[in-house]
Parts: sequence; C-alpha cells; structure tokens
Amino acid sequence: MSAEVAVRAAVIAALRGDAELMGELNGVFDGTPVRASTPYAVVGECIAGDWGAKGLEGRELRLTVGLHDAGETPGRLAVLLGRTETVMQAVDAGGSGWRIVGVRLVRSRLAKGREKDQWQAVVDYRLRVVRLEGAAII
Amino acid sequence: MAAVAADAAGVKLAVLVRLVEARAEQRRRDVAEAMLAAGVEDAQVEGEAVRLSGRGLLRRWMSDLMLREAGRVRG
Repeated sequence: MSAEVAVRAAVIAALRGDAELMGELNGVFDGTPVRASTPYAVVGECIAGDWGAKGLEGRELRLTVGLHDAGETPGRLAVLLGRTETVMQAVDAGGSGWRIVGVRLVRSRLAKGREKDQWQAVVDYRLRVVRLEGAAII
Repeated sequence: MAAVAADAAGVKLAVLVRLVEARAEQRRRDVAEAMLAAGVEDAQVEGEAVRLSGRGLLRRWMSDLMLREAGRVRG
C-alpha cells in the first residue's frame, strides 16, 4: 500500500479511536463532508515526497487536519488542537507496511469562518515514514 | 596565535551567515514564483516575508495544501 494511503488511514483511525477527542467532536471525516454539524474534524489532502536512502524506501508526507467549530470564541478549538497534536504524536501505522519515524507540526492557522460564529483551524503535519523490511510493494 | 584563530573563526562564521542568508533569499524567491505559478494574483518578497494578495486568497489558502506548500516541497 502506498505511504500516503496507509498513513492517512492510520491517522483517521487514530483520531477516531481517541475517546477524549471524539467526546468533543461530532465526527472525523475522510475529506470534506457534504454536510456536518460542528464541531468536527476533517483529514484532508496528503502530499508525498521521497525521503529514502540507499536500501531504504522512505517518504516525507504532508498531511492536513482541519477542525471546524461554531462559537463566539475559538476556545474549544484550542482544546481540540491540543488533543489532536497528542494523537498525532502517537499515531502508529501498524500493519500497513510503513513505520512512522517522525511527526512534526509544520504550520497551524486559526481563522474566522465566513458565516457568523464559525471558526476553522488548519494544521499541517510532516510525517516521515520508512517501509518496513519484508513489506510487500503493492 | 589565539587572536588569529579567533579572527579565522569569525571569518568562517561570516561566510556561513552569508550562505544561510543567500539560501533563505533563494527560498523566498522560489516560494513567490511557485505562488504565482499556482495562480495567486500577486506574490512579492518583502524583506524576510513573502507577501501574497488576491481575491479569495484566504479561503483558498485554508483549503489548499498544495498552495500552502508551493515552493517548499517537491511533491
């Protein structure tokens, strides 16, 4: 499985599997949902570049996590951002054939939405992964 | 002797600083060019910042990872 697909799936599973985060969210969506009620999270695009070495296949991924909320202040988003960071640092790609060797927050932006009381946060993560020995290339 | 060594270290440091600054400047130019190539209306290097402007830019910025990464990574 490609690193982009495998790691993205692992991130979605990790976010959905975190009881504390899910206690605050109405859903974690794989891509922008057609309809959703706030607060919710979206695991968005993923870009991959080479991060290999001799005899080692590796990828450097950029992955976006978006958070949407409604309220007078972005206070709840701040809590959600903190929890998301904790979950991201603990993501394990497990049996996907890739091992995550590094997770780093690249940038984060908080902005008021177009509609009244809407808040949106976008966080881009850099994940470095290496293919596990013996994992099949599909 | 110690003064000569210190001077040499100072020169080496100045060279390193110049190299790093040149690299950062090139990166800013790369980002500005990539932003224009991505369809951003205006992208200017202003000191240590790349300033972008355009209609609907904030909305596009928030929703487009490729734009946020333009000029930074080779995807």
